[in-house]
Amino acid sequence: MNLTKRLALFYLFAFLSCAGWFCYQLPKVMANIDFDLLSLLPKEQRNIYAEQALNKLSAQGQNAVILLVQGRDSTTTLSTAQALINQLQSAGLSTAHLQTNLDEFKKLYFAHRFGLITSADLATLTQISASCTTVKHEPNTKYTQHKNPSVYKVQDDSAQRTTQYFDHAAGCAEDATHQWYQRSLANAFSITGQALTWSDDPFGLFSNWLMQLGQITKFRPQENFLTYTAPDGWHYVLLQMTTTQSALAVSDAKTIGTRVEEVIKTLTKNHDVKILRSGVLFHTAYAAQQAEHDITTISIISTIGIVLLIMLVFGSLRGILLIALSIIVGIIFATTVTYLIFDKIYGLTLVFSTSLIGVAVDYGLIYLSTYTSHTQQQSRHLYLPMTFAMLTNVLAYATLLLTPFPIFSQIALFAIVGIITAALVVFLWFPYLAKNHFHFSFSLPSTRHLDYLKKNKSLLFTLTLIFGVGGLVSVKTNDDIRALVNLNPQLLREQIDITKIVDLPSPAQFFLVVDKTAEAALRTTETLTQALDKLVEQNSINGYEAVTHYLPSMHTQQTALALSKQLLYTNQTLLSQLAKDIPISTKQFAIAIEQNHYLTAQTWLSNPATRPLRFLLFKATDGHWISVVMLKGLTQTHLQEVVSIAHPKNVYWVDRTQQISEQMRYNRQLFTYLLILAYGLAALLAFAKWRAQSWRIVAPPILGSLLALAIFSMLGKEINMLTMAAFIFILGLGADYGIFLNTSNKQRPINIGVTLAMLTTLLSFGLLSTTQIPAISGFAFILAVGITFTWIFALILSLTGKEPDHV
Amino acid sequence: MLKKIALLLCLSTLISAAFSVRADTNLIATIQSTLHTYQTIHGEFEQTKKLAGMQKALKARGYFIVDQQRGVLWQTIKPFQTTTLIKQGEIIQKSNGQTLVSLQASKEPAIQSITTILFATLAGDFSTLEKIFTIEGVVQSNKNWQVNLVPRDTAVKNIIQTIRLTGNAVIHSAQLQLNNGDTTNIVFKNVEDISSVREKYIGEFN
Repeated sequence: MNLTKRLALFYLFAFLSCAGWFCYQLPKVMANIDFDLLSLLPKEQRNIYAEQALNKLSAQGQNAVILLVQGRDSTTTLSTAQALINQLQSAGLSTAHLQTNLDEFKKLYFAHRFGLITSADLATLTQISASCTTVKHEPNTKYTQHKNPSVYKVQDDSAQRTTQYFDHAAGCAEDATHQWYQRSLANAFSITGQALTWSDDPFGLFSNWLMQLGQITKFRPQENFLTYTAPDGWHYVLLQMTTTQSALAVSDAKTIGTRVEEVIKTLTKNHDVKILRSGVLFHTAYAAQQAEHDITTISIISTIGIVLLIMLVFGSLRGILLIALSIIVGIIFATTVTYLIFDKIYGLTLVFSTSLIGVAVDYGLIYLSTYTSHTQQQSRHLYLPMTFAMLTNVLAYATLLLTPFPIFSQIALFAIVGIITAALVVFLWFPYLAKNHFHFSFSLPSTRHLDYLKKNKSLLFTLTLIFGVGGLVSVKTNDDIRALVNLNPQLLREQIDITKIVDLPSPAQFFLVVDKTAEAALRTTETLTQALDKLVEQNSINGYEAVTHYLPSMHTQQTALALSKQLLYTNQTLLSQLAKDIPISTKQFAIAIEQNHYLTAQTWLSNPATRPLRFLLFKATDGHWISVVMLKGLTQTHLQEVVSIAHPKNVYWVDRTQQISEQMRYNRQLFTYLLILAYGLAALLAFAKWRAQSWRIVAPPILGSLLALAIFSMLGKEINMLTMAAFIFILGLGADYGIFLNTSNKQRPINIGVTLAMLTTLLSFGLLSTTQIPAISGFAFILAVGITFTWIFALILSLTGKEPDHV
Repeated sequence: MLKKIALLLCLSTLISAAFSVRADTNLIATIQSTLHTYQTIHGEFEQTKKLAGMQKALKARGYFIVDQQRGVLWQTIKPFQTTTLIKQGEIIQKSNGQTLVSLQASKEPAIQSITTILFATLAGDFSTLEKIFTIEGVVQSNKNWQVNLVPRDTAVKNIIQTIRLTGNAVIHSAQLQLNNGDTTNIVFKNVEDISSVREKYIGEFN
């Protein structure tokens, strides 16, 4: 057995084992197809903490659905919300019981209430405490004259100061705490209802804190719903639902998405209400629907087209089967390897892979069309140019591996494996399988119609150059990630409306506080939020979401407790004054305060009620504590103001949108340099082989690219990272045409082979450019147009050239 | 991640919504035909508040003004001087000219509901009350009426268990049973129509 036979057998063995595994794993592979648009986003590379925070955020977002019922009449709005919950329960969406949740929170905070005081109350207490200092040093001066408004901030040493002057509290309290006496009395006698009985919160400090907590949102509980009535009279009911299944498969997302849509349709038909949706799963469902449609249509049409083309040219079923074999082997290998490396396959990879058919088919086509005229021995002469052509294709795809976008790395891997394994079928098996000659089933078309172009090629090139340079000048770039995906505009509008009405924070731009301990992280967060409070006052932002709203640092709690204990709860003057009107023992608060435990991060994090908030504070894998502070209503105008608050030591500003755009711009530029480098390399290689004729190989893809770019720009489209990659592909695929055309001395059959290869590529990418996914359609469009022109120029150049060298 | 909105621990979460559910329309109609609605009334009150966990009740007395336009002025005289102003969407508590508490509906939406309930209760506005409460009660032959108000909404139930009102042509008494265990009894005396001399009193609202 000679070497080629052995290799062919070995390859057969490799394929059969792979195919066996593929068939066995197919159901699992199919179930793991990922249509999540978030997978389009590049990995966060710079900051491991940001990466973990983003993972937490997206994990939280994956299963969350927000529905907002909007109506003119509050009764209808509420009943619609109830009907929604009832009807969606069976669809796998559930909602937490609001009252149970609220009670849980109330219970949690009540146990720690003596340390929970608003910053405003704390400032007043600190001020009084500061006045005590004055009283101590200058006993003859009256407190009122020494009110020092600058002591409004809770400073780090305030706890110490409190302890230091604790003994003197009674001396200054009478004057300074008179307003607290009045406040307490007013609370006791108040006719308005209160959540807590007076003795649990005699000075209303905890009530104020709870009130401040509630003001994070304008939605208020009503009939077990969160409701809000806007100044314009619209009633809103907010439903926050989660999928009952934690890991949501695409098919489930589609089922839920469709069910929600149906239910909304029925509920809004008869009532004058609107229901808005927001949630990752809706986008996933939409993307899956689109991608599936694209995959089926494009792959079916391009397969039929290619089959028809081969039928037409070779008129032989055997030819079709041989070429189909190479493609099937390629796809099975590609799917298997991709799945083994990535653990899942992205829906977009499948969309893209449909075009791979057009590329992988080339080797078989070239082989078969050459076989019509060559003996087997002679077709082996094609191996070197075919290998060269394959390598240029693989290198083109390899550039996509350089991007930080996992989706494009996967597409590249899929394509590279698919191309190599499909080509190996041609190299290793075709000599045994295609023993009989193929015949063209029709008389070959004359190339005489190119004669006119041939004669006027200087004019043609000049025109192309003028047109191409015009395109280059007018080119526009866009590095926005949103230009790559096609979100359902309706869903997007609803989501924007919800964000506005509910005033949700942006998940893409936030501060990241990193510290060694939870307490340190909380204290740094408190310093940060003080700065943010100022921005809120200046209307630079609407507000923010920080863990310290829900969990003040131990230091703040200690300060709060120490100050209120000293000045209020154990202030005998104040208490005996109160005792005149209210039957209290002057010791009862001292006892209650002794029983108070500070709310620790551990307690807070382990309470079931805080689950939805835990992304705000967590422990990173390396043991650091991370606190995420998200902003509401941040606009571009105030961005710089906000960013300047960040501190290089432990307060980072994370801007995903900007970061992704930067990465996209970086990659676009990288691809531009790579393109230049690739042309340089191709020119060198071609020169080594074809010397003075090498320009015939390099020029066609350059001219084709220029024309494609010009047409693309004229259509008003913008260049991004992916369209730049397309130009590398034009070189990869287009250089092949020149190589093949200039390698064969009997030009006719190879003309046909190259033309067929071009047609299949055009068919695949032309069809792919009709996809609704903008990321792929732009790429495919450039490729289809560029390849067509490259083919024309390659033909013109090879025909006008001298008799080329033999391989 | 957005469930944080569920964090509405706001102590006072009352309802402003209009409910279509109708109570005993006969009862309400009878009371409304008995109870006079005046532009402005003035009266005295005696308040006995029993705080949860305390044996002795707190007693207070003073006077009040209910004006259809300006709202309610609640002036405690004993044991200490304090003024509570209940306006549309605003509650202010003052003592000796100093503001102790100021709550705005613009900052805390629940304030709107509280002011609505308090105003409707003191002004005897039953058409508003029956939207928020289920109302049961009796009207005696001498036209004395007595009603029990139970909140319809669970959010209001979190604060108020029941309100009991008695009256005739004017309101006689109110008893508020709160969810935190506190009970407030208010007896109204010398309630009179001061609409004709409204201008004399209205300045107190400022």
